[in-house]
Amino acid sequence: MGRCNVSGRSHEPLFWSLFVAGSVLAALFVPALILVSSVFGAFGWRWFADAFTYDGIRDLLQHAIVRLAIGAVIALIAVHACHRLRHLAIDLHAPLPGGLIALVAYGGAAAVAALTAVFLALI
Amino acid sequence: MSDTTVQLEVFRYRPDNDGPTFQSYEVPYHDDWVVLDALNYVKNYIDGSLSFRWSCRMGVCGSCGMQVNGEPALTCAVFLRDHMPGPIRVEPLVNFPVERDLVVDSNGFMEKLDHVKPYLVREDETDDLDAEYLQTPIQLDRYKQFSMCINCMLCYAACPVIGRVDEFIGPAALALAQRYNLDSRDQGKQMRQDVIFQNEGIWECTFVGECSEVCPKHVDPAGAIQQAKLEGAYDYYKRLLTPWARRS
Amino acid sequence: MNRPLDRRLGWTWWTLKGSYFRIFLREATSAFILAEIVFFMLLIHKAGQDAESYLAYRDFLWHPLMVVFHLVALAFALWHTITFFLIAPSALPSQVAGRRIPAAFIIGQQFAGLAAVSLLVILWVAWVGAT
Repeated sequence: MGRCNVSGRSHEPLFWSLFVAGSVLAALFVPALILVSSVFGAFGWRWFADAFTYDGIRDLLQHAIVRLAIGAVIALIAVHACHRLRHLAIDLHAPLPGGLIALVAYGGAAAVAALTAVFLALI
Repeated sequence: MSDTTVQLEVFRYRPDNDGPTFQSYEVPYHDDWVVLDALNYVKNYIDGSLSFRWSCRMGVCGSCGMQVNGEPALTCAVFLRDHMPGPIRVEPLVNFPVERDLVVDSNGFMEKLDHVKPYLVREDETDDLDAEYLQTPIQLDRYKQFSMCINCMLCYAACPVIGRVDEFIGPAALALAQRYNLDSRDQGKQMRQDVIFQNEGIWECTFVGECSEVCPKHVDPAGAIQQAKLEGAYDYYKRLLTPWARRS
Repeated sequence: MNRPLDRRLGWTWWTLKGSYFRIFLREATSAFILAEIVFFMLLIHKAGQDAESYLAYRDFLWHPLMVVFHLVALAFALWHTITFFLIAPSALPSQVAGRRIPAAFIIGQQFAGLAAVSLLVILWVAWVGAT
């Protein structure tokens, strides 16, 4: 164990606070999201299968408020997952520059957030 | 007196010889013996060359921390009976440089402690020895848990981040920083935050939480660090949104 | 001569004991959560195109092998939920307005929130499907 460095204050709080917000949303929404969009309908449960017909999903996503909420939730969960993957890579001593890992991780999160916004706008 | 014995596999290392080895010792088993008793038996009756630190034998001094069967623990608090029939493997705390046998170099830890100013800082420091700084039970309760630390360094041995980043200030020192930051009598929060809000402070921590698991005093350093992160995030946005309010 | 021995935990730390491995699994939940988020994003994308390509993608999502993946992802998502809720009491300040909040209360409130949110989402989708 070595000495303490003085590297100045960190910008990590910016990413960490978004990560925590995304953690809360992921903890609350992701189980239900997986169940309704990918499991119940596949099991052939009628109401859920009907909700994910072509007309069904366009009904689901019809209201601007719903789309806004879904966009915000997806964006924050993407930041949550990418931030955690970044730290997993670091904790596994990935032999890559830290800046590159951060760029790929947050770049990926930003891409998911931006694409989701575009896709929601195009419906 | 029983005739049962137990095998100790003890980590041996001396810097002027080759790499580390394990040496086995057969020691008497007693129901009420802890690992430290067995080590002292070795030292007194079998092999006087074995080196290890200990002092109080009662979980207060924090000097007898070692790896017992791979877990960081105070050897004065680990009963032989919980590891029967053995063998019981005793190693120096991991993550620390080993000086000799079971003795680790704690200088790095001491420096880190020093950096967080683990004492009450007052702006109005007086020479009046009778000066009193009153505190209510509620104010005491805010930091009491974090003040129980005995500097035994088990949390540093449990922390995978310490293994990766030498400079990481680490669980015990960060918990102590939080302990003084939460103390209503203290005025040194700003100075401590300049240290702990760096990357090598709280932000390297990924909440593995093992520091709190191994802590013999239930200090919960992992919780202390997360609480400091909340304050760090608040402080970050405050600085961002009010750049004109330059702080020291 | 003085050669202190280096015994730092290396990159395999997460294989050393069960408690480390559970933390590794907690961090790995992010890969599954990200995958499910991307699947859902693409579902939204397809909903903006014609019915045929939407249904083709939906049937891919609902393929039995994919459902197996979704169930594994669901298990990981729940592991994130559980670990996140359980550490919340120690990560939050111990007092609010001078009163200590019992950990069990914080944890209970969060699981109540999970139940409420899940129920709301499921009922909303079922209601849209039924009408």
